[in-house]
Amino acid sequence: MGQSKSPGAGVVGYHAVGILKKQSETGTHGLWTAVLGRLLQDKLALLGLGIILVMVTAAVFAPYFAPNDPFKVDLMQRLLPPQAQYPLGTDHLGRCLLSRLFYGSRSSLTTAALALTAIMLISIPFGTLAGYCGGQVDNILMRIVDVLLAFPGLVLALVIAGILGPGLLNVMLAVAAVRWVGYARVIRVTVLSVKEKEFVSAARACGTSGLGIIIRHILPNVLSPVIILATLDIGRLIIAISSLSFLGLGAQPPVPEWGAMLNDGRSYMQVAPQLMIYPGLAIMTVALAFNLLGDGLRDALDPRGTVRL
Amino acid sequence: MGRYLLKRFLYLIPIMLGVSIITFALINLAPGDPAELILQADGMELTREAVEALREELGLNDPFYVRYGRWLWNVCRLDLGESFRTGRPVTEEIFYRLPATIELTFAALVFMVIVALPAGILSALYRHTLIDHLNRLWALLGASLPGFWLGLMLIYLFAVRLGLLPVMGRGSLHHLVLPAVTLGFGMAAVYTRILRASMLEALGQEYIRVARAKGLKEKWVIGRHALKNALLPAVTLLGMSFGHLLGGAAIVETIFAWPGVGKFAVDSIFNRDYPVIQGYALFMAVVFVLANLMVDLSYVSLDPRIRLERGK
Amino acid sequence: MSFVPVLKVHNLSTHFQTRHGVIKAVDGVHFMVAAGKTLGLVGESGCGKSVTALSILRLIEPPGRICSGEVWLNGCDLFKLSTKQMRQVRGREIALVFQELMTSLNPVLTIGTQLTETIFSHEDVSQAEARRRAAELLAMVGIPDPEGQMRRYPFQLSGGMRQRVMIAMALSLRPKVLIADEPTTALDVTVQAQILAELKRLQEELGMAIILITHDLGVVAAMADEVAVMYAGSIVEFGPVEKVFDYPAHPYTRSLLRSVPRLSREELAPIEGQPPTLLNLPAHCAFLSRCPKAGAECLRETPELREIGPGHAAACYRAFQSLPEEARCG
Repeated sequence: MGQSKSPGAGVVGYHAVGILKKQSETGTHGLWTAVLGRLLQDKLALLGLGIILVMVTAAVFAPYFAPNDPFKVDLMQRLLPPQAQYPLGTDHLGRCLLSRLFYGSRSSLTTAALALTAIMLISIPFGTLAGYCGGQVDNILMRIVDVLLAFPGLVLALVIAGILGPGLLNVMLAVAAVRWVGYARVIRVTVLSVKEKEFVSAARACGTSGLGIIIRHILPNVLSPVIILATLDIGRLIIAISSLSFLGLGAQPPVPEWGAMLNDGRSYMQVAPQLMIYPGLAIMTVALAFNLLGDGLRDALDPRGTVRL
Repeated sequence: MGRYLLKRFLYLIPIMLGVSIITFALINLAPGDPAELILQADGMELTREAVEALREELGLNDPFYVRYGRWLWNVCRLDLGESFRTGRPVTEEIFYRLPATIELTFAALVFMVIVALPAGILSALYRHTLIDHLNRLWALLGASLPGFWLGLMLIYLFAVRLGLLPVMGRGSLHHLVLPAVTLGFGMAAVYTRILRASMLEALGQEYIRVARAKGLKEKWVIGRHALKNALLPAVTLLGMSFGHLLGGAAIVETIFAWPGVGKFAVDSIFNRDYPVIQGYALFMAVVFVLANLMVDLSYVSLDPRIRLERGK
Repeated sequence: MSFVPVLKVHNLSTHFQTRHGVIKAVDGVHFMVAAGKTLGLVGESGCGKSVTALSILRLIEPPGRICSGEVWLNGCDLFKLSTKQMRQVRGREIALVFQELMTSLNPVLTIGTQLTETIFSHEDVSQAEARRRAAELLAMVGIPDPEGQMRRYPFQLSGGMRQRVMIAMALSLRPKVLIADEPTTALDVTVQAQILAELKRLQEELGMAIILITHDLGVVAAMADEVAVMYAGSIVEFGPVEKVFDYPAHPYTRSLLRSVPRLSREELAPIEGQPPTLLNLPAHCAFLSRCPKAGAECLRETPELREIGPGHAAACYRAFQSLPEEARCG
């Protein structure tokens, strides 16, 4: 059973192979310089990057930007339409929607970043071990991956989050527990290809230890495709986390989180549609920004599509 | 062919075994003692003796492998325990709702194919034209659009504002439209891009030039020669996408009050109805694995290279 | 011997628009070929041979474009035909045999399907009739068990067999002109000889004109009646095969002939320098930088084809001097 044909080869894996091919042709350093050059020419990717920077600024300086206290309940001011005091109106408890959106960007961005960190912490050692050791170790580790991929991703995340109980941290853990698998596969393939390179054999011939080879020669090569994968994936992570939050599994009141705010707002669809329009728009904008940047990164790595004849 | 099938089936055994272990182990993540939960659910008093007695009765004090073996034996007899909430067998509850979920998922799949197939082909044929640019925009939006938000917006637009379609529940074909579109929308965008790419790849192949040189009609060149090859990579990804749809179904079902397994599972989560959650995970994995098997088989029948080479 | 041209190519130019500029892949090419005759079109790879073939059938795709020229098939200008009429010319009047690459035949369709679809698309015949004719064609190109082969897929056939299938496909409607683009390059020598012999036999049987595109001068010597040597998108020498081979007039042709291994001569002389990039071609002779005989006059505008002997022409200012006495005209 040489080739494991497990359910869900993953779009992520699909892209990564192309990236790997490209990377093996050029050196890591020159590659990134070239990529950066091409990226700076890609207006859409720059737009994405710009939006991300604005969002991060908004999250960091939320207290300065927010016109009102996002937690202050005022039942006399419920479901107000947009006006000078409340630029986007108020929610069902009379809290300022815009202020809550600002603070909400903190939850969304930090949970996504944490989830990504958790994914890296599991997938990099796992994938490296499988790829570097090969043989029986690889076989067993990959069967674990196959088993995890036999669950529909969101179903498993939902179940894990459900069993752990509501909470933003649990949702983040649940999403990371499901997502790391795809990364591990990509890392394993990268390691497999890097392992065969001359410089690794040379290092081994010089008596460098296994761990030394992994840290000095293999990991630097793994990082670059992983960064691109992460950029492409982070939009999906944000959506997945906010989906679970929307179901009520994530952020608990009164913490402002876009998915949870949408869930709160949906009951007031008829009287105050802005309550469900703006949080969704915010999620979409962030996801779109990361997708634009990710697409740009991928295109920059695969110039084949742009150079013709 | 036969040997390939056999291999494919044999491969399912360790995978399903792994799936069962994970499903069983998951429940140990739950905070608190299941015996206490059951007692609470039954409204009994939580004394140390009562809890200990129930633990013994439920076999919770046995080692992991004994508990797992017992559970697996039950699962093989389609016994997943009883729902804490309804008191009915979990299998029965899930089987009762499964058709609704399958119906929704397939409707989404159909919507996806109806949209993505022509859009992807047109995008490839008219590369770098307005159609292609619009498709790219749509693909970007589709990948960035949270499904639950799309669902709410559709409800707002078509049900609240225009009053055209029913919002909640299952019934006529009209009920199916909004949930299916919500569920299939993002996937359709993804597949448009995949089909565009594979179509471009196929159109660039030598055999297309040969086909044109033979004087075949352009319709035939594209529909037969290019499309048949372009579909192969899309079909391999279809299995995975089915999984995405099953997961997304839980959210869409919740939004549209669609009486499927997903909504049932979400409700159970808030009632800490662990047997149901466990059963849900296991059932979805089985459905997903079977769907993948079907996709693989259809792939084999589409690609003679696999059918004839591996089958020898 | 009467010379009735079936296909006349007049002043054909095909250019490719790229980000770096215009590539003149084919630039002002003239030639003609008669029924039952074979024209060899030779040159290094990238000199525009294949683009010429594709241009004749109007199969050039963007960013390429046929900029000028006429292609006359029995007194009908192909470039003036509608798309639909042109489709009917392809395969039926002019057929193309491509170099057999692994991807020249569609991997997911059977040989039978790919043969019969050609017949179906041009003639109103029954399924059984099309299959019978397809089997006949396979037998004609020397494929054993044609019925069995028709149910097989390309990957199940050897390279030689696939090339034969390509030829059978091209011949299925008995075209008047067959353009064979490197039909034997990918094959080993024995198979190559078989296929060439087969082609020659079929040509006599069907009275086709053949344009044989190759970089292999040995193949040209064996097959062609006339030869056109292409360099950098233009024809630099043209003539009856024995004239061109015995008295090459253009320095490029001479170099080309010297670079071919022959039993009679030990020394091989590779052509110095690189083939020119077709981007921004100079206004003077494109071969200048590699030419051993170049003189001051060669820096003037690009030389045109001039007749230097009966049916023999070369595009070189110094061609005349390089010809031996007996080959000169007049």
